[in-house]
Amino acid sequence: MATREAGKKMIMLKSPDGMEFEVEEAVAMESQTIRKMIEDDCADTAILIPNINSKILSRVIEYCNKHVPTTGATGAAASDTVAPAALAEDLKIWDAEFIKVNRATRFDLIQAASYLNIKGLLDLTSQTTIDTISDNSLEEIRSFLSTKNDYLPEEEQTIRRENQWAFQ
Amino acid sequence: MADGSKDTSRRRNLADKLTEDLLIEILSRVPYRSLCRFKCVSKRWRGIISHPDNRKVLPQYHLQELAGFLYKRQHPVTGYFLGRHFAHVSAGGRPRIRPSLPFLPDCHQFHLLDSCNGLHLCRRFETADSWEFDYVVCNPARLLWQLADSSPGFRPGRLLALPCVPLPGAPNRWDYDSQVWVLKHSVRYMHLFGEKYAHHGSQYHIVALHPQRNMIFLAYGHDKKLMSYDIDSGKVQFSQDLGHDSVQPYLPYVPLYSEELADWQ
Repeated sequence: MATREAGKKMIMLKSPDGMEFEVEEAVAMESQTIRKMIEDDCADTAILIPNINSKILSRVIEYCNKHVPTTGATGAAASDTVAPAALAEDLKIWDAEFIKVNRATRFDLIQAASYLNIKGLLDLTSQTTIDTISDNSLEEIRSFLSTKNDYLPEEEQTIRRENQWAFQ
Repeated sequence: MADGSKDTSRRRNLADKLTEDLLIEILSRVPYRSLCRFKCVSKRWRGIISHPDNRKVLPQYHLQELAGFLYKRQHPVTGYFLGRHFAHVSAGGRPRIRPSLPFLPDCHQFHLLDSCNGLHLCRRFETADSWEFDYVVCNPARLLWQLADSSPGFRPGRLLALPCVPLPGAPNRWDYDSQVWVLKHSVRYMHLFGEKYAHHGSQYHIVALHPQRNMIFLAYGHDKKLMSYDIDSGKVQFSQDLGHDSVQPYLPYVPLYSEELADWQ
C-alpha cells in the first residue's frame, strides 16, 4: 500500500512467502523493474515480487537502501559534507562486506538482481562470482558451481585442444 | 551416509539455482579467453556459450598485441620465390604461426596482399599450371579461411576488418580541423641510426606502422635489419635481420581468436 511517512512516498513490497516490506519509493525505484511498474501506474497497492523469498528480498532492499542516491531535499546536506570519492570508497567497502555470503545466496541474489533489474547489484554479484572462478582450474570451477563434467575423456581432450590458446 | 546425501542434495540445489540465464549473465562479464576455457567445463556450458542466440551478448573475440610480420624472400635477380618467413617482434612468447599457411586448402601458391586486425587477404592459386586464382580471407591463429568474393571482375582493395575501436593515439598525420596533411613529427637520421650505421646512407625503408601504437618499423641496411621507432618516447630498437632478399609487403600479424572468421559482422 502506498503510504506517506515524513514526507516520503512509501511503497509496499511483498515476497511470495507472505512477508511485507515497506520501503521508500526512491529505494524501490533502484530496481528498474519496479520503477517501470510505478511509472506505468501499476503499483497502487502492494507489489508482489515473485520468485524472491523474504530472506533474499530483505537483502536486496538493504542493498538498495545503501545505494539510493543521496540527492534531493533531504539528502543534499548529507552528500555535501562527504566528498564523492570518500563516499564511493565507503560504498565499495560496504559492498565487499555485503557480498560475503554463501554460494546459494549469491546465486539467489544474482537472480533477484536480474529479475528486478538492479544493475549495480547484478554487476557486484556476477563480478564476484567471476573473480572467484576465473583463475581456478576446470575441476575447481566445476566443484565451486556444482557443475557436472559430462564430457567423455576423449571429447574433453578434443575441446581442450581446440581451445589450447586460452589455457596458455 | 546421511551427511553424504545431504551434501548431494545441496549440490543439486546449487546446480539448479545456476540457471542458463544466470550463467549467461555471469559469462557476459568474462574476457573471451576465459570463455574459451569455460567451454571445457561441461557440454552444457559449451552449448550455452556456443549458442547463436547467446553469442551476441557474450564476448566474441580476443585480439592480441602485434606479434610480428609475415613476409617472403625472393631472389634479387631472378625473382625466384625463396620462402615465407615470420619476424617475431612482441615481448611475449613466439606465436604458433606457420608462414606458409598450410591450412589453406587446394592452394598451390598464394600472394599475401593485406592484413588487418588478425585477418589476412590472400590471392590463392589452386594449380601450378594455371593463372586462375581467387581471393581468400584467413585467420592464421584459428586456422580459419573463407572465400572473399568469387564474382568475376572482383578487385581487392584494402582489407578492413573492424573488431575493435581505433586505439587512442594511433599514428595520425591528418589534421581533422584543417583537412590537410601536416607534418606533426620529425626525427633526425642520426637519432634513428646512430653514427655506427650512418655510413649506410639512406638505405632504409618503412616496413609497417604498428597497428596498435605510435610506432614505426623500418628495415635498415643491406641485410634489412628490422628496427622500431617509438614516436612517443623516441626509443629506437634494433631486432633481427629480415634478410637482403626479403621483399614487401611485410604484413603485421596480430593473433585474433574468435569463433568464426568474422564474428563481429
